[in-house]
Amino acid sequence: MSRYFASIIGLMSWGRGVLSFIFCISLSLYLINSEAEDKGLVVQVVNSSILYPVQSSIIWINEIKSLEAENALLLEENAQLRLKLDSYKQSELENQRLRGYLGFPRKFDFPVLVAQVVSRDPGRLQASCMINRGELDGLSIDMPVFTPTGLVGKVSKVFNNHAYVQFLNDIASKVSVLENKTRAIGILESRNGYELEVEFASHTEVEPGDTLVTSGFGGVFPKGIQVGVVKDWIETDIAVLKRARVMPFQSNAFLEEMFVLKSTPHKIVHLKDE
Amino acid sequence: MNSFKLVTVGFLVVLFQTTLLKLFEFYQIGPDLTLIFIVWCALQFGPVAGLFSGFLIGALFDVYSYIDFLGVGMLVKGTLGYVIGLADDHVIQLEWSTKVMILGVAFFIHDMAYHLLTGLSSDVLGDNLLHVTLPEAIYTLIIASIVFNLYTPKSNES
Repeated sequence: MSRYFASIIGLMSWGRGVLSFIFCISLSLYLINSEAEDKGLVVQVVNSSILYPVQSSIIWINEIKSLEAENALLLEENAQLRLKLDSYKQSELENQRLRGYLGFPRKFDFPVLVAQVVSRDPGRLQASCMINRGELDGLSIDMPVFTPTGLVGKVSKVFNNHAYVQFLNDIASKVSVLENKTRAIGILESRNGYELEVEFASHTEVEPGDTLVTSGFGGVFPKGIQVGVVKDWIETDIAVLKRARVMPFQSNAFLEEMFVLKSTPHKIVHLKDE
Repeated sequence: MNSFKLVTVGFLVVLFQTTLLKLFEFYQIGPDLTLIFIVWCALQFGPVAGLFSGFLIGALFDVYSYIDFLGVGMLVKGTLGYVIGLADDHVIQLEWSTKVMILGVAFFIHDMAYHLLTGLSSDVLGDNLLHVTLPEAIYTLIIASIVFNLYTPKSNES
């Protein structure tokens, strides 16, 4: 009797497990196939209620510990910067004068916001991070993000007081770039999620070592933000294209602070769900 | 360990993975503590615990990914947790070294499934597994050896 009872209990718990499995898999598949708006709602709930409050506190505690060491470094850096400042002031005046001669508009005529990294993508490819600025600070989707070293990516999701930045190595990211010397236009992307590649038309005379900047095409990134250097060529099956690896100026591994350019994207092509 | 404690530990692991793990990285390679937790949970407490730990951690991962990929992490990690949980300590008593090997296999299956579902082209998949998954798997397995050695019941060793 007890054997039958035990097997019934066993069957019930097995059945419960299978039911849970079916429920979770169905929910996952539903989310994968749901509309972008519904997905956004789920992300917002998880973010605002669970992740961001706790993660920002951890970062805050960690920051206090490193403040002292940082302070000493900043004092030293400050002294060096004071020396450089005078020389830069001269350069800026000269720059303004030359710009006036050429009749060029200022390159980035938008306000810039400093943002701090709160947490990083835990996934294998580390294609995004969370920053401590959001809608209340005037951020919106597709604003370019960069550091003094180079382009980082763009804002991909925005919430009240935090946002996500999509890095250039995200397989869904594509940036139109311009080679400084030949002025050839190419598309920067990452096919494997960790290496950046650029595609040019096969007749272009780009060489390894050449510098890439944003082209301004596409309306998201303004023209002239430094992106990286062409490293080497990769063989491709398409005769009309040539593909090269790119060494980015800004590595994602050492990001702590970054700048968000508060520019409004002026896209020519709008996606259906926008 | 009750469910509440398990959820708390899982949440702490995710927090650590997203905030402080960079302190333990070498050349941008860090261990995947969340996968260790899912496999440990599944082998210790069975398929349902494995399923839910994988599903919830997958949900937190998905928040970071491109919005079109929402649900992929839940699907892959949840399924992995459930399947591994079918061989839990109540069904078959495994040594810690076997558990580490299961984690190693799970690591590659997870990455392959995730990358294919998120649209990574299959011609660069091998390259990706070699340059990203393999180094992280090795680091993760070293950490997992310690964890599984400590948290495997001694009766399993015999």
